[in-house]
Amino acid sequence: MADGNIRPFREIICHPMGIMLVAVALVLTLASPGLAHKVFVYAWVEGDTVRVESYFGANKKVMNSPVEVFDPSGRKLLDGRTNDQGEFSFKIPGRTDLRIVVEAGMGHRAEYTLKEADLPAGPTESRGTDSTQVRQESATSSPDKMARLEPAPADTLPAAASTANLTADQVRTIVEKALDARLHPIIRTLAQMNKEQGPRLSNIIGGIGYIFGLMGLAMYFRSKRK
Amino acid sequence: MHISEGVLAAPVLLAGAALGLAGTAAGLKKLDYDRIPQVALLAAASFVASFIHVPIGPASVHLVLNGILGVMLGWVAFPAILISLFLQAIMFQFGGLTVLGVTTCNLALPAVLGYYAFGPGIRSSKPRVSAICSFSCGFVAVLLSSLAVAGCLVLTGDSFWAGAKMIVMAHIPVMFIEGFITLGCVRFLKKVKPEMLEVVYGRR
Repeated sequence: MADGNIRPFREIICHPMGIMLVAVALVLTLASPGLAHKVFVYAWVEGDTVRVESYFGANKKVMNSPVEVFDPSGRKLLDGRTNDQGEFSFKIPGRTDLRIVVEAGMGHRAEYTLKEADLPAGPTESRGTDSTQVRQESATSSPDKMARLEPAPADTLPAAASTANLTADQVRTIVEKALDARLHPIIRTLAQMNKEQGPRLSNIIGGIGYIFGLMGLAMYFRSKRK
Repeated sequence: MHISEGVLAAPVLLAGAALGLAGTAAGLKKLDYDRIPQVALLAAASFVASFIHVPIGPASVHLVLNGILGVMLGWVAFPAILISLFLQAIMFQFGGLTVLGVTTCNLALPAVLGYYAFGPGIRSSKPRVSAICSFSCGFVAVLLSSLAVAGCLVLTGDSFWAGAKMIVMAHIPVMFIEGFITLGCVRFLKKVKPEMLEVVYGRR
């Protein structure tokens, strides 16, 4: 009689689906989706700077890894390394598609192409400069630093208060700077939202479903042939 | 264990694809089609294993489970691993379609070797022999796979030496974990479902 009680339980445990459920439970407890081994790289533009972020998953950054930037013809424009936040930034080297490649070691590599259309339309001062000059190690572009790069610094503005003296170019740089400062948080948030995320649990379970679907398919054709 | 697309040289990719194809054909030929569910189960296990992250050591590593696949599937490990890698590649862009053959070989060849080297020992009726063989099978399969990935990188270029060494080092904890997982699985199956330890080959 005791045997009669144990057998059904055993059959549940040994049944492939029983083992499968155990596996799913294991995943639920052990796997933190996103902490896999795929490398992501994402780049966005802030003012005249391209910011690159590279990560394995939500919490694991690709630290101190080589970054290379190429133009569409495969010419290397500049290179550098990510900092310990997985970030790297550089001044826009010119108006062209930028292919950003991160080597995360151990055969992991990822690339991201920043389209020419995503770069700011205004004249970039750094155009045509030598790539070695552009090379810049993960600089934090603080507002005062950006101000220094502008041809019309902020402190000259009160002196030029008679607005009639301003040229169209000066107006443009002032407006661009103000917009950059205002839009900075929004750009940052959008960049975070656009970032590719690692696998989600629903995808993983979907994958298991695919495998069993294939199994069903194979068995179906097998049974027809008999 | 997944090598990203665009890293390996073309000859390595082609050789991997050819070997992977041959292994898959051999596996499908030997497969007993009445035992497809067991193959699907293990393919699903191998698919899921990649999401079980091992937080030991500096790098991002995960379980592989190719030792247990080898014991239970033999050559059929090739099609099972191929399917799980294919789904990972198209759903999550782990690895990639061009690297599929290479990665399949890197994982499935050690599984098949484990089957031949440790299979008879694992099925032995002596508990101690079986335990040692099943631990070794899980351990050695991951060791050989990491060596194979390292080998692929070194064949591609000398600049990958550091990365290759890193791969083997990073997988040392995984080797031990998989040794114990294989040991546990074999013990469990021997008690409750010993026929699952018989390889899924058809009789002919």
